[in-house]
Amino acid sequence: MIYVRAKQLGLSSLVILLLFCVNINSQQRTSARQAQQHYQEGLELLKKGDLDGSIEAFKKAILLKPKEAETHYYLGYALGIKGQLADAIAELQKAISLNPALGEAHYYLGAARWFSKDVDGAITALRTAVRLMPRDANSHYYLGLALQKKGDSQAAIAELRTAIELFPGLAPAHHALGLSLQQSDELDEAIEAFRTAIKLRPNTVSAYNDLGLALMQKRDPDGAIAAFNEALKLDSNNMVAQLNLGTVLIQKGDYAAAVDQYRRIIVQAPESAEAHYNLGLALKQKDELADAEVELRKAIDLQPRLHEAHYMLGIILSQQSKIEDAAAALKKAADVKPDYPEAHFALGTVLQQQGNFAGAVAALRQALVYAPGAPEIHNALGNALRQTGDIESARVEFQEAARLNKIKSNQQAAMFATNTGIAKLKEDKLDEAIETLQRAVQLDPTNAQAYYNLAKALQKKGQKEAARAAEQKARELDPRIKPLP
Amino acid sequence: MVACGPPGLTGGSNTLYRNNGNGTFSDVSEKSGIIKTNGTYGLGVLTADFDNDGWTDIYVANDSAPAALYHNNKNGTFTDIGIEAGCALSIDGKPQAGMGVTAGDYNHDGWLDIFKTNFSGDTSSLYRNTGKSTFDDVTFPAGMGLNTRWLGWGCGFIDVDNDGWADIFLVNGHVYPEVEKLTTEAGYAQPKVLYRNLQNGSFADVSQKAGAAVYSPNASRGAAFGDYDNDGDVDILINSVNGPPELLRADSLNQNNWIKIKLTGVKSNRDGIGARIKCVTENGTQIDEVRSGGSYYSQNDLRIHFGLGKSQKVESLEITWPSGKVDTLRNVAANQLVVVKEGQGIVQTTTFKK
Repeated sequence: MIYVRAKQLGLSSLVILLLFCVNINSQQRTSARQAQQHYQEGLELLKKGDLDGSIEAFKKAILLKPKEAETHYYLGYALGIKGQLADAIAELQKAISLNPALGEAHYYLGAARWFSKDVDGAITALRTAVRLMPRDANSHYYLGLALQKKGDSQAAIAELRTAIELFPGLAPAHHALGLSLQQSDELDEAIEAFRTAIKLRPNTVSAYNDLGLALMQKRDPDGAIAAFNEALKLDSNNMVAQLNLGTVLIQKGDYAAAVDQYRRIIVQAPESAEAHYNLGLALKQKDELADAEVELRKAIDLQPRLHEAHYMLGIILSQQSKIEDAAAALKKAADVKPDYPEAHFALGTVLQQQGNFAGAVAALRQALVYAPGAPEIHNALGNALRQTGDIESARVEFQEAARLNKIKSNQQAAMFATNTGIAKLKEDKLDEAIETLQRAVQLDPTNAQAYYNLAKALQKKGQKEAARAAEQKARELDPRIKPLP
Repeated sequence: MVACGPPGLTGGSNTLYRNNGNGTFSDVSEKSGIIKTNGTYGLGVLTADFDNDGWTDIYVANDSAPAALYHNNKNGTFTDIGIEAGCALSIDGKPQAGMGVTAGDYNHDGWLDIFKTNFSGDTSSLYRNTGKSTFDDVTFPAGMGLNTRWLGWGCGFIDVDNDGWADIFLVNGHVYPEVEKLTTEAGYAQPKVLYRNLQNGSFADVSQKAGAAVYSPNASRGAAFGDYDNDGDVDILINSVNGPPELLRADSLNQNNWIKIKLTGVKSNRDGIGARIKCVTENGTQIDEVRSGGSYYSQNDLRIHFGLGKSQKVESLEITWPSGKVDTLRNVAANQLVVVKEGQGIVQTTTFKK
């Protein structure tokens, strides 16, 4: 442009213009030098941990040289570390617009969005980061976290495994992997992942808590108790661990110890509605109903919308023959949480005991809206309908309950047959295993494990085609099932 | 190895043997319809006339499955009406692990009600007979929702204080000896429970007031009821697992009156099993039946015992025999055993020394 115009201006003008340009270039060089100085200063300050100083320096550098992707990137980084996430995101986006191949900027943008709770945005940025930097463990780690948050456990597990492969010492990745595996019901592997996270970073209270929860889910209450006690050794006031310990004691059935535990929590945190509620539950299990009622009422005082407390209060009142009060408590539970089938169900049965059969029918029908596959509700409804004199409708409900119960009992029988089949398979009694597993799939055609083990047995028996068909069926039913070797 | 619960296992079927009257029996299970039932895994069995039609019905407590009420069709066949009749499931529509069963008219309405013991984590069940071939589950309103920790077995409607109202006694004990090592369960040996009839449709747990023999734990199974020392109150024999039986002698402290009736059948069976006795006093009407078996693997005293409260006499004793014959006896004095022969009335009386 300048050249074209020079030609039009003539020689003298061209000389002036050239002189002007020389002057500009000189100024630009000075600015560039100064920008570089500010940039270097920013980096030095950042290394020293002086975030404010570094931010100031990077901003000065940008004023002088606004199109340097690296400067925007470091400014974004420093702002992010400082917790100014919105500003950080803006700077990182500028850095990326200037240099889309700047992988670190994508990574930090993803991380900043993750901390800003923009999960979708984080996933987009982190996917680009892992594409540009496939060997960056942190990018895979954060992408795993974000995918987990989105509920895509399988994708999360893959990313977290990659992160761990690249950096086996990344304790948070093991921890996060444990959570994703737990979500996918892969409890043994989840427990292993939590244990590795703890080994790498033994002072992480949350890892002990999560290990304890996985062990609880695995029905290993003693293991869970040990894990929660470790958490409490690190932080004796940790309320999550305290409450978890109480919960696992209830799961173990050690109600006396659970009562003691919740009483201790209440001394420490008298305003904990959860502790009062759980104490009420533990007392109920001990048949100490009057004391349980007191605790549940306290929980409700502290948290009036704690629907479970209203529900449990209703159950306990009904156990004590306080049928009218029970109905009121259960009604409240259903009001607080209208999509609460248990509350409608229990309300129905209490109204039935009051002789309010029409009310019972209405409540039970409401329960079925939310839990149509529950045979016991159909039975109770049938009973209530019978009491209203509507024998034909009652019969329909009883029939539906019988149908659902049949499915349920077949599922139980199938589970039993599957376990027997697996045992036979281990003993190499292939014919017996095949016969038992075939019975299992007949009883419950939705049992993926039965099909999978049948496939294993058939494969071992050399019946390749039948094995393939069973395997395919298993994987249709549960895509997480790994292919047979 | 620990025994597991029945779900998932193939259940058995119930069997009915018809007495041929010549010392032999015929298996009529299929012909009678007994094998057509919703429930399986049967434990406690009880025979009684629940609909007052003069024909004996059968109630079976099933483990982890709906209980069965076989209605006698009066033609050699039975139909399981348990679910439709409202006595097969808990109030919340779930099958229970039924163990022991007993029948009695706890509310003096002239219809036999059902009490059933269940597994731990559940209450026992009390089904009130509505008189319309149906039952209402009144477990909670009747005050029996309080105990969920015990695993119940033998049980009986017995009038422990002779006030003329049937109380309920049950024995308990876990199925797994291993639970003794755990803090989690109520123990292998468990206390018995006595519910006192409050004469208003509800009961109070008075176990703690009934003496150490009641509240002391035992791994109990069977419970049979009868006045072994003939002192006018009902004693209890408890069969235990891996231990000696327990004999609980009732020592009544009140001065309430009573009467016992022993039946001798002529056309009907000799023990009068299946006979219905109606006992009318100034305080009301009680009913009971002579039955074989019941509770849990137990046989009660075949003499029927009624508490009479302060009544000095029974205004009328009406005995309906399985043959259909009815014997009615009037103004029978209290505190004695009367032996009644079918069609002949009282043939013997015995008073016992206290």
